[in-house]
Amino acid sequence: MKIIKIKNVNQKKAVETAVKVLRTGGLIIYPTETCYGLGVDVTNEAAVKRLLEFKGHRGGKAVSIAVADKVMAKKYVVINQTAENLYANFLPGPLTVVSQSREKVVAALQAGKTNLGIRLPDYPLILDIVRRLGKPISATSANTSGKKPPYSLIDWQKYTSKKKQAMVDLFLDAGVLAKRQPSTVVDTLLNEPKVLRQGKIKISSKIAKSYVSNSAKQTQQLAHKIFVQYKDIVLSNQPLVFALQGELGAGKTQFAKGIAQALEIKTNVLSPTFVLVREYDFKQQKKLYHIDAWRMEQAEELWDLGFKTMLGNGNVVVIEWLEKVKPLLKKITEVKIVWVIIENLAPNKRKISYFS
Amino acid sequence: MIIKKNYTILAIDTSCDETSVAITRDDRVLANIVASQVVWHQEYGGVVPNIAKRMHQQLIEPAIKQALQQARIKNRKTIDAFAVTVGPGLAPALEVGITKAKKLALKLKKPLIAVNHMEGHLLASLAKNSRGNGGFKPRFPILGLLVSGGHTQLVLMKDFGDYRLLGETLDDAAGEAFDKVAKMLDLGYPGGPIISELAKKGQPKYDLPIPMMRSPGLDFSFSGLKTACLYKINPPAGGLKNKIKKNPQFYCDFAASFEAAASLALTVKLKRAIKQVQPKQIVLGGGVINNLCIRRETRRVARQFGLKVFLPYSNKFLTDNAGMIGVCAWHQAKRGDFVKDIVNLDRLPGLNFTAA
Repeated sequence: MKIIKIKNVNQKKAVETAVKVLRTGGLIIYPTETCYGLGVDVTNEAAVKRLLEFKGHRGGKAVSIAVADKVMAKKYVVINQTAENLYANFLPGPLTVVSQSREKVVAALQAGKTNLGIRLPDYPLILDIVRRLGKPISATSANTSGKKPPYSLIDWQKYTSKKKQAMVDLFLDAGVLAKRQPSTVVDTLLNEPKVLRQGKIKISSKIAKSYVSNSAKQTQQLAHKIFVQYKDIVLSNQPLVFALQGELGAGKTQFAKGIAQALEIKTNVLSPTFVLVREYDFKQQKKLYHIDAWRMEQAEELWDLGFKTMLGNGNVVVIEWLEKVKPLLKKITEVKIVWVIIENLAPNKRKISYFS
Repeated sequence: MIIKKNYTILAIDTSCDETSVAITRDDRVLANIVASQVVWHQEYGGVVPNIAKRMHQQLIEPAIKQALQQARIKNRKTIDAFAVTVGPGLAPALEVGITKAKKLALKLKKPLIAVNHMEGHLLASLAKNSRGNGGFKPRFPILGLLVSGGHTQLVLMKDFGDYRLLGETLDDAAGEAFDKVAKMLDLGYPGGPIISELAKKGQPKYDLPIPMMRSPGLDFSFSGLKTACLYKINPPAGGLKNKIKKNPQFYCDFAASFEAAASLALTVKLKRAIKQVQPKQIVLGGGVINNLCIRRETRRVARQFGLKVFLPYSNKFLTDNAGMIGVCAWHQAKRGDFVKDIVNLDRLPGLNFTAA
């Protein structure tokens, strides 16, 4: 087994070597944002067979695959709306999204015949390898069945028999990895997404509920209805954020109008595009902030706008064009964020999905 | 109240994107510095990073210096009063100008005048250049049509300081619709001026709805027009089947169609307002008034009632600038409208005219 110590200087070399090994049907062990993973070319029958042999008896458990981006994922699985929402909000990151397989990988990797887990690791080196290979690699922890997931080379050597160690061709050694939990695994093939394994990412069971709106007025009413489900947060003096995603003309400002109505704000809610943020008072000296990130160049501008103050007790914040500020919002963990996706289905017909 | 002749004001406007400082003497504008339009010398640290642009902090002192220099004022003590925009606008941006103006007024022991940014736009046409040319003699009541990236308003001016809001947009401002339609056509931001340019070579052959045409009252709406444009440009699935061929002529024709619809949306309400309040004069203000089609259509409607339309002597007074704030402040000084408690002067991001 070859060991390459990953340093900043030899990344390119490491990628090249890994791709070469994978192309010839070899097994590699690679670092991720969780534990070390075991990778083979998922379209190579012999390689997959070796992988399963290494892992040992697993009772028909499936193996997920790592892709370089959503475009690659779409070639291997059917991404439905639920999955789409998860990709938009959590990937790349420690989340495995199970979708319907297009059966382009070795069948033994799939669960229940047609389900396939997709992982988009938040680890540029691996994304590089997959991109260079041009197809996904397996994404399973590098331990043999029943042993604990390895976070270092020493760890792995300690719990893996010499015979099994000999099956691996290349170990990309990035030292001791931070002990993060394995990825959360979510099945998106049911009506409601189902968490198959809980990791660091917590997915609410309320995920991606959706309504259809047939007019601007109805979008307002639906916003009101959605707000009511989170009303307790405001009543208990916690900040509440609605992060809206949707193209021009989807009705984001209409949604904000609905929230304002729910808060019994009498002032007319105008588009905040030009002024970036508009504020409205409601009960008990609380404020509704309506932000539009459309004209922002950097997510950090949100702080300049006084976002910290906005997240004060019992305030409500509605953000339009959340794409621009999403990375920043995702780092805020202590605040309840309701993610809302508005899609144009047809003229005057919108699908409004939300989860928190 | 009688104030001295040649009353010199240093005016600051940081209501949104622009940092602007002006020196006015009565209704004459001696200097009108808009930071984004100035090539900054190395002494100011060269290029200002995007993130700080809106925060005005780095720009305000250099802008003050340049304004004083241009107005040939060596001693700040010769300034009779300071003026600053307190709203409407972006709260943290307004804050910068207000803090600066307070400091100056307190330090030099001069009065401070708090200005409504929209009143500034309304009075911009009264501004004269340093030699006293430009402006007009007001005959009340005056009907003002203010159209910008952030506002679309019809205001009745019964006298200086006596204003009534007759109507305004219920959602997006007209200027915003220009920018967003430009975005749909991939013309970049700000796209308003590009639309106007393309429209010159186009025919308004696309059928677009005129928002609020049939609704009573004097309010506007541009959100629906924006969405109608979206459907024409990118028909959603299940919508119009015939995709429009996008050649250069399409861009020109579409721009002309949009411009015509936006102009009509404005003039329909202008006409209605003229019938209702029977003004003696009409004034225009705001950046969107740079659009020639809107000017032409406004004049055409005014002519039907034998009315004259007044515009600022320079287009610089249409977009955000402190010159108009200085002129407005002079009229306020004449009626004794000074800030009583300078220390506690607060920003008013949601400031508006009193509704009719």
